Amino acid sequence: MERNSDRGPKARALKDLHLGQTGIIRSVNASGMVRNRLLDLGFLPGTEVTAVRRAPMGDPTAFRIRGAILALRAQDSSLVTVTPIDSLQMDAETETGVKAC
Amino acid sequence: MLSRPAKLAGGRAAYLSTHHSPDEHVIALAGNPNTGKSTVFNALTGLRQHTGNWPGKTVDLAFGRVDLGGRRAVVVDLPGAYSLLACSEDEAIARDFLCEQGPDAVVVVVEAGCLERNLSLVLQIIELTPRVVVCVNLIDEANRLGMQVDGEALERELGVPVALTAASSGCGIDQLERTLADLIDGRLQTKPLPVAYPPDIEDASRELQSKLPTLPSAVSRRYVALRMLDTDPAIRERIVESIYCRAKSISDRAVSRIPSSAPASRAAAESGIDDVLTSRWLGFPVMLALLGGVFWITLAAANYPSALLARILFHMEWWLSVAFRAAHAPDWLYGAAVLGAYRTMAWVVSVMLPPMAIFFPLFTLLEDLGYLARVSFNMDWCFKKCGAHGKQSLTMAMGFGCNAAGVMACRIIDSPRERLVAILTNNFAPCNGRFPTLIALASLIAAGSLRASLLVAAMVLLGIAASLGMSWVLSRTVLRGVPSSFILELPPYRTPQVARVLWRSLYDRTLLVLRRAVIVAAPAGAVVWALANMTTPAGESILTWAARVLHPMATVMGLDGFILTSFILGLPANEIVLPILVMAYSSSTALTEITGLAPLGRILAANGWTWLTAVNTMVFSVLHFPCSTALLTIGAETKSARWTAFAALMPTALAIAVCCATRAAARLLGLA
Repeated sequence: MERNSDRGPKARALKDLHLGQTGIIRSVNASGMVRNRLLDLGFLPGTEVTAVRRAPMGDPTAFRIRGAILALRAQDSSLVTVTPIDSLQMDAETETGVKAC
Repeated sequence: MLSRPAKLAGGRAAYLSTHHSPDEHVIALAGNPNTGKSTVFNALTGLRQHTGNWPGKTVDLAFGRVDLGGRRAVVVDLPGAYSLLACSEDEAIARDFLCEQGPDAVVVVVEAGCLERNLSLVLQIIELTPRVVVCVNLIDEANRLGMQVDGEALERELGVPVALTAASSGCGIDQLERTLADLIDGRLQTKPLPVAYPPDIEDASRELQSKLPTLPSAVSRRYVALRMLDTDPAIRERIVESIYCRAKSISDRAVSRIPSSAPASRAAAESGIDDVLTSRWLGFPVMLALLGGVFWITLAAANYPSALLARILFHMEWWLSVAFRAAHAPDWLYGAAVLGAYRTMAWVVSVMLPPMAIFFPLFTLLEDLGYLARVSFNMDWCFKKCGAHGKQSLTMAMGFGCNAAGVMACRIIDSPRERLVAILTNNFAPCNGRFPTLIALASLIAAGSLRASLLVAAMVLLGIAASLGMSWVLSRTVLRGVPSSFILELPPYRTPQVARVLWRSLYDRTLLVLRRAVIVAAPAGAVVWALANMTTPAGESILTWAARVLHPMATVMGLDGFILTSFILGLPANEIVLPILVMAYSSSTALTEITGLAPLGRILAANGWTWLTAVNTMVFSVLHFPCSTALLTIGAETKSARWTAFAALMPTALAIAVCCATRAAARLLGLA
């Protein structure tokens, strides 16, 4: 199992958050409809977002944001940049070993 | 009471005029998807509109009346909207209604457990109109999750009245009604506290407002000015940021945590359920098991009522025959009315109705529970690979109920290309009219209800595979393109109102099927009887002639001419295909028993059916052209005769190809 601290607080795409890991949104790099939709659902810089589960085939991923659980496809969640923060909620992380990012 | 959802296609301005008299007040019900808005609607109006537990479900508008202490008002259930800014078709409908109709009051239903996100919509609506009541719904659910909402704090922060409700148990609805009455009567003045935007945006907005022309009274000038400004992406981001910043600070002040350990364990339990239902290894098996389970219950439970109805209706036919003979009715009248119309109707009622009336509520329960959203989550990968929209799994699920409804539901898909893909492939989800055919045939060739339900499940999987496969083909040929973005909300699991769902769907389904049995099946039965008994100059009946013409092609497909003829004559409604076939066969084999599965087996066996014939009939039923209602809906939704023709021809070609392939394979393997 890897610890996130190995990589430091470097910004990365939302889709690369491990399950159970929380990040702070830095920027939303989408445009047009996708961007508007993400903003409306609260994907805004400074917002906390946690990856909670992945679908059986590895995509989409469900994120907890502002009290709701929203599933995004990788193509969309790759457009959001986050800075991971070390989360104490590591119980889900056993699964992350399967998918090293 | 009126309940008919108004169709939007025929011009928006028209719908209110047909639904309320000028002295009635209009109350609009707005809110995020999944906030229990439809339940609040039901609680207010006593009108049992179906409540769904997935985002973007309510596509048409539903109307109902409420009596607010002597004042009558029309309540309009607007489509679920996350925001008034983004504008999927649903959100545009909600926004346009609020702007153009200027309702006397707007109830914004928000979910207590997800206040922050929901408040962003409230803040946008109080910018548009001050006549707002916020209905914080699902407080019971939030309490269970350890959250307490302070209604008075919320009122102070927003400047509009707040009602706390748990609409499914009717809790708080009387307070909501009182508040609405006070607001409409003017006893209650609201002073909404709008979001303060950064100074430069506020300045620009003021400057724009002074230059705007006169606007309709329902629209706030500030709102219009801000919408003109937010066409710039950078300004838009700052506007949305300000809204959410405010939403968060309000939510932080109004929501407190109940210090207790129980709620956490409930959240953990829910998350544990989701871990299983969406897990890599168990996600799909559980889905299949549930699907098979639903079919098994349908199959096993439909047997008894089916046999009972068959006995009663057969008995009634006997009495009818006696009556016709006593009245010396001519043979043709007796034939068309009793052997044609009545028998077909009796067939639809006894063999088709029980499975439909059992399957539908089971499916609705899964939907209300929130499981279908998980199915969508699990299946999305497949849809993505096929170039389809993630919401296609939801429209496909609706297609299981009725393909016409499924096609209409495709409006929840924003991108025109993916919407068309979803419309054209919806038909592969075997609808309620085809299930009984599948179930009847499966029961005949598979011993035991478990094996029969597995066979039905296999047929449904074939339909899903066809839907995915054709989406893939379409996305790479005539409808080339990459999938657009897709965001799916996974709502918390909610205990469905079991008794109500069972009662409503049983009642609704039964009424619907009975009505269709009278309107469609009976006349079709009379026509088919005529076709089976009118002879061509060569001395054979028209039906036999048609079957003979189609026979060579049908043989290659592992069917026979009568089966293909029945499918063609069954165009008006899928549930009459099997009754027509029985009539066609019995006109040549002179069998007198009518309804029920055992006689059906004998009739089919007497006409040379093998297991392959039954399987191929099921395959053809799943894959063939949509019924006429679905085709008309496709025509209305695509507004293109070409696509409608395509929607009929493409599945038919696929059905023919697959049937030919199974027959060839069975022969090659020496199985038939």
